[in-house]
Amino acid sequence: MDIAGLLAQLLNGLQYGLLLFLIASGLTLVFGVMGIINLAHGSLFMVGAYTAFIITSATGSLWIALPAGIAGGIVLGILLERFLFRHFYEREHLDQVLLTFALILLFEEGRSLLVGNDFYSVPIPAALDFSIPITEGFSYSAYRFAVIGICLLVALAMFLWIERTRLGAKIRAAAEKPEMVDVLGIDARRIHLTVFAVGTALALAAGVLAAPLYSVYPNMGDGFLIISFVVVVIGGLGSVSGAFWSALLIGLVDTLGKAYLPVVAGLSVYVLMAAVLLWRPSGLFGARP
Amino acid sequence: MLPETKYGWLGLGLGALALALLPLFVHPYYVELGTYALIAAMLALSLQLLVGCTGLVSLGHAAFYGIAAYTVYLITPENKGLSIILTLPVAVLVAGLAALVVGALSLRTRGFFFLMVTLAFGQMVFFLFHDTKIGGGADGAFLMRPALSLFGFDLPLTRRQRPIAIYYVGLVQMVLMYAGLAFLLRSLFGRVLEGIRVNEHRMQAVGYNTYRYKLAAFVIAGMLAGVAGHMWAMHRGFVNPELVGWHRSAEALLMILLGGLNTLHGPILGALALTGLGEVAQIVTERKLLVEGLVILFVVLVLPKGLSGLRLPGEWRRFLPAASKEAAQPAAESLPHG
Amino acid sequence: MAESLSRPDALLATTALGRNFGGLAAVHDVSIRLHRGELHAVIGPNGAGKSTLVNMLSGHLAPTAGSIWLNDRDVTGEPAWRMTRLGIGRSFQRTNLLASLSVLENVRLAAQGVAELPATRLLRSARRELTLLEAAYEALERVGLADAAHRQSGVLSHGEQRQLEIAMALATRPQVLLLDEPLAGMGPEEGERFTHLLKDLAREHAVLLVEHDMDFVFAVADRMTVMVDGRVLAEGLPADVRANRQVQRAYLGGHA
Repeated sequence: MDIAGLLAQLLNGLQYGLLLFLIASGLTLVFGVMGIINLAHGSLFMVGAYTAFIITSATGSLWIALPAGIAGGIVLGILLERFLFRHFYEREHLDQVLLTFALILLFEEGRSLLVGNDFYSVPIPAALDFSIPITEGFSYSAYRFAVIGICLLVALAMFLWIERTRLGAKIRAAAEKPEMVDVLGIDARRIHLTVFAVGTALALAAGVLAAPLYSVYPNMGDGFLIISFVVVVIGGLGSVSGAFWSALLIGLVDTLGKAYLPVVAGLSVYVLMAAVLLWRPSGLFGARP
Repeated sequence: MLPETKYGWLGLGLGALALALLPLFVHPYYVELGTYALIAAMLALSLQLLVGCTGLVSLGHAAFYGIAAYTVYLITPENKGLSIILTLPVAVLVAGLAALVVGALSLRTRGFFFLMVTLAFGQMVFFLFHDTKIGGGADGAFLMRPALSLFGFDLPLTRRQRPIAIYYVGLVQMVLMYAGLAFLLRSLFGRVLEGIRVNEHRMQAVGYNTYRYKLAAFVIAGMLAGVAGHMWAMHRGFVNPELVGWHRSAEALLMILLGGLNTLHGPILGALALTGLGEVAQIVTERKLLVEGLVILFVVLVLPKGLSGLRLPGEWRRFLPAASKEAAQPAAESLPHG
Repeated sequence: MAESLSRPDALLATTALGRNFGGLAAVHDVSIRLHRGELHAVIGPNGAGKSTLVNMLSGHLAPTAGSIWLNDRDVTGEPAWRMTRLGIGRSFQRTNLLASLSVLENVRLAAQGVAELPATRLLRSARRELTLLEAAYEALERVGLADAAHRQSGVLSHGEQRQLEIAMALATRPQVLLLDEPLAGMGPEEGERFTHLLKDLAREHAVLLVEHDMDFVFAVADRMTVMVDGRVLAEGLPADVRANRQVQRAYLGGHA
């Protein structure tokens, strides 16, 4: 048994899972609070990754790209909510699916017009471009450790925000009982904007962090999007903690699967989802029965 | 769902006639394009049984379409196409079986979860064909097209005639599919599906095991998607994983929305319109996807009821199928009179 | 017990029925017996668990404790559709119709729901299935809605919708009728017509009635159960219940 290899895969799985959490938490909040199915969430991730590419090409530093991605995400999220999604809260799922599908196409075409259709790699920031030795025969990428660390910090921040602040409590209530939002009155607008902005910023941030690891290429959002939905389904709609644990689970299952059972690698996640849904149709931590 | 007046049926009849006469008047390129449109129409029609009739929005429907096409590829030997008499039933059966398995699992969920589960199953099928060598992997594979033959007797067709014959095969299938669905919707079974769409909870309260009915609809829809997929294999002679991708499923949903969610002929209209639009767009720009995205945006924002929902001034309404009149008065959906 | 010896076996009975939500017991230790020809009213303040009880009896909610018996058959936890087919029909407190469909179609579908047609029969055209149409008209006439058969059920007046609810329940050929606040929102004239209908129905079925209108309840009920905080506070003949001190204090207040 190749222990070093196993450790590496476990850490990879952890890192992948945490990135998934960043993406999925925004997705689950947006659906939980506003009832919006946002298929374009993966495109936001893509936008983040390409932002990293553009900024890194121009300035050479990923550290500028990260805050830029977050700030851009907040702005983009506010714009999207204010001008587009706000009109779709009461619309049928079909309409939302098609609207967000259209956004995917438009984002992809926008990317194509701006940057073209090539594969691009984004260099790991020089400061983190080394391996940290863990044991005798095993060392692991410093950058990946950094990603793990940053994502855990974000997870902690989200936990504190949702569990400890007033706004967070309202958001939690709204996610569990959307009817409550009407009761909250004026705050409803603020909550919607906040949730959307935060969700978008998280997706973009994940994209920035992921860029050096996965490169940037057309339709890169698709893969992450669908897996994120699986995370949300398994974790339960509207549940950020559910998204956290299920993201880790999926990250590990997918990574280990691809490493040790490559034939069924792509399928493993969906088989897991099917199994969970058979056992618990509303997800492991589902808010609604 | 069906035309409520004589004028409505007349309109449909004229439309079918126009489609039937098409090959006589246009360049062969448009006959082939028309066949693609008919295939898309059949896929959209099959999905409409789920979406418009039963209220089940599925994002994985293209999986059964693709599975049928791949089935044709898998059973066809290297050097000679098989008879359609063999390939069609086999492809449809396999698609139906796949739908049975997927449906049995997916229909344990509702609403958003159902959407996601169907999406995920579609992706499973995608990876099955993309990552393995079953169907030529990511690049896809060519196949010997099913032949129009009956018990070894080949229909004698010249190279020029074949596309036209294929077009008519497609048209006949589509018309039969429409007729079959119309018949189904008027039946006791179809009425239950409508009740489920309107208020599933209430239907359970009056004694229906709604899961069974939804599963039946899911399987039928899967088989009909298989008819469309088989036609694709017959026309294009090529299969690749894109056939089962969720983009394809989303496009089918778009055709339904574009043509009108609450009519049976809506999806056909939507498919024809979208195919036509694609052609027009290509003249203007190479960016087909950009145009598609903008069209969807436009439809969703401006035409929520699709083309069937466009209003005309009062007098003109007499000449339209009932769907657009429905938008004017809340007519009771009841048993067809007369 | 002396009671059960003198009356015929219960059509529907529960034994220590209970339902928990998280840590909260919405219904606790409720034993109730319904007999054919008897109108059994369940009263109590809001939040007493009456609706939860009805939901369990009709199969929309699974009990977490106790059992439900229909004619000596244990039907605890059966789903709603099976309860209906076994003979437990109900009307809903909040309007729960097939709103975009006609009145006739609503009832026809209800009649079809328990018809147990073989699969091949299901492919026949709906308008040729005369038995179902007849059953539907029958139910509509019983509640007095036959004239409205072709109107869209969603545009009916509130009282008419309540009538439709009963018609749909009747079309499922129930032995037991669970009526959850059928009077809500009805005017006095409609209410009177309804009282006659109810007494009529009570003769052939076992009726469980949940209601807030005390005058109405005391006028029609053969037996009563009072629920408070998920438990049974008192049970028996209306006169006895009315005279019960505990009940007066907890609930009836000025109605005694």
